[in-house]
This record gives sequence, C-alpha cells and structure tokens, in this order.
Amino acid sequence: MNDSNQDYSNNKEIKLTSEQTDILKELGNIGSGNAITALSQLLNRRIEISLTSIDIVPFWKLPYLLGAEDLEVFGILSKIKGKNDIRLLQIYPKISVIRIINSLTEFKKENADKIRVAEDLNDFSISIILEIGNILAGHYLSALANLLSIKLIPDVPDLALDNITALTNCIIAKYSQKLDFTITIETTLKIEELELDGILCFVPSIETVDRFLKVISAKFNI
Amino acid sequence: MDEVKRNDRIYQANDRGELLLPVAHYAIINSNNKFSSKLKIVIYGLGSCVAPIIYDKKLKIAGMSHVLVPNSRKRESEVYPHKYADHSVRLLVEELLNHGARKENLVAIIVGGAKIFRHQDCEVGARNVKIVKNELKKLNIKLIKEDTGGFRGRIIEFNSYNFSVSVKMTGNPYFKGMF
Repeated sequence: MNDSNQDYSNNKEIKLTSEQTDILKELGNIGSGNAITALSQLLNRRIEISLTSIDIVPFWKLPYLLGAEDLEVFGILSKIKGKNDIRLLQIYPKISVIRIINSLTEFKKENADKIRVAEDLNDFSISIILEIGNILAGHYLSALANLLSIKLIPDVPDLALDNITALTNCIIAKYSQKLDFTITIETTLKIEELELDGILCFVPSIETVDRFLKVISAKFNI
Repeated sequence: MDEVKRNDRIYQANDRGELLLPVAHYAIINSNNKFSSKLKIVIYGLGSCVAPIIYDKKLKIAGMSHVLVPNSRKRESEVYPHKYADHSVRLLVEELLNHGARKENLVAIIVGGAKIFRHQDCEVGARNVKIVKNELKKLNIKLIKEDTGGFRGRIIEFNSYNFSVSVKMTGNPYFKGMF
C-alpha cells in the first residue's frame, strides 16, 4: 500500500506495514473507546473492551471472524451520509439485547423465547436498541472525524435479527465486486453484569483506508 | 500464463454428512459415485446471496453454488469466479456437463435474494435473482421452483438421495419441504 497511485482492482493480496496496522488499530481503539464510554454512561455499568484487531481476510471468511455461522444475532448497520464506502456493523447476541432492553425499561418487558425476528420486539424496544446503536455509531465516528478532520455523520441505523452470515452478506457484497479481500477493524465489548458480549465492526473500503492513512501521515508527520 | 490455484469447490463433508457452502464456493454431488450418494449441501444464512441449484435427476448429478454479487462487469475473479451470478451459473452448468449430466435433463431451483436490512438501499438480492434467472434462460435451463425475496435470511438444505430441497426462514422453527 505504499504506492500512492496503486490500483486495487488487480486483486493481489493486500499487505500493510506494521506502522499502518498500528495506525488503524489506534483509530479503532479511539473510536470504540468513545463509543463504549457513551454506552457505559447510558447503562451505568462497567464495560470491558478488548484491544482492536485488524483483519484482512478473503471476503467469505468475514462471518467466521465474527462468530459461529449458525448463530442468530442482532445486527445494527450504520451507513455514513455522503460516504458510500464505510459501514459500521454492531453485532449482539439475541439474549444480550433482550437483557439490555429489560434493564432499561420498567414496563413492557420482552420475553426472549417469543422473539424470532426483529419485528417481534415492540416499538418501544426497537426504538431503544436503535438508539443505542445510533449513540455508539455516532460517538465512534465523531471521534474518528475529529482525529482525521473530516466529516463523518452516521445515517439512521438499521436493525435486523438474523443469521450472522446473512447479516454480513450485504456488506461483503458491497466490497467484493472488485476485490477478493475485506479489511475489518473490530473491537469486542463485554458487560459482566448483563452477560453481554458484542462486536463493533468497522468495515471501510480499501480506498478509504488508504485515504485515512494519508491524512494521518500528513497530519502527524509519520 | 501461470496457473491460478482455485480451491472453491467443497469436497469435505462434516460429521453430519453436510457439505457447508461458504460464500462464493460451490459443490457438485455425483450420486453415481457411492461415496457421495448420501450427502447434503447446506448453506447457513443465505441473505442477499442467491443459491442456484441445478440438477439432472435421471443421471443423479447435482450442483449448487453460493452467489454473492449480480454482475461481474466483465471482471474475472480468478480465485472465486462463483461470487458473480453470471459466471457462476455458466460454470456450474459446464461442470455438471463434465460430470456426465445431459443438458436436456437439467432443471434449476433458486433460493435466496432477501433484503435483510430493509431501510438500506441494498438491492443486491433482487438483482442477484434477476441475473441468475437471465443466465438460466440464456442456457435454456428450466426453472422449476423458486423461493426468493422477503426480508429474512434462509437456511437451505439439499438432499442428494431424493433430490429434495428444504428451506427454513430465520425465526421459523421448522424446515419446509420445497421440492
């Protein structure tokens, strides 16, 4: 990726230097750190996060990175206004989402056994979970935007409860028209008291990664 | 020309006798071969992807692939050609004919093409289905059944011993037999 006018359509394997990987990891850490702080304040609970990992994998391996293939999870997908090549996907197991909802509401508790698709949740719960998704995405992206001096405003997020492979289909479809590889920047979070595990998965296109790295190196003289 | 090594055909079944098909991979079952006569081809989580199943029931040869994007736009993916709808159908038919299937016996079933995130402009599913159908028409292969569209992912199971296809929508507790 050192060549400035590299053509990424030739489908050769992408290699990042260790510095570039570190920069991307740090971007992920900053973004997720901000997002988690916001969630922690909202839920009033301690949240543990892992260090961010960068993965460059063949596109079909993306679902396997995020969990078992027959796992049913909630996915919250955020797009960015005006930028069509960045996606932020948040993945939470079904039971964790129900626990969050039930811990935040006093009335209209949800029963996990009765929820089979996202529409089985009542409107109030859908609104809660979408708002949490929106807050996390907003904080994640605004931290990145501050650092990079660019504008990143998340669109209204979209919620679905489905198989993990089905959820990622539409993301990989977006990126693998040209390339056989995807870059993901993912952070896992954990709330002990609610037994919640989640994944924040930032999927930029290769051009975006290149742009980010250029901005960073110009700004901080790396 | 240096040869590109392709390993997108799934041969290895897991301990339940299922050939699990990841995105852009394919599998062929030739039931005349006694080792592969009791196998199933399974896809967990078929979202906007489409799975064309093409088979010759008389000669007991079947193939299925897992298509990701509709149009190759004349771009050849050397390692994963089955990710493009147009290439995938053509290659699948070629491979089936190589295994001894007869062109006039071939029929097709297509499954998938859902729209998981409903508010996003994610029309890949519908376009996938359209292109797969077009390709089948071009190759004169009869489409006997389809289960496409909707807003939910599917789990699909192809049984090679009776050539039945079962589909389960996410959230439904049971499989429903399709053919």
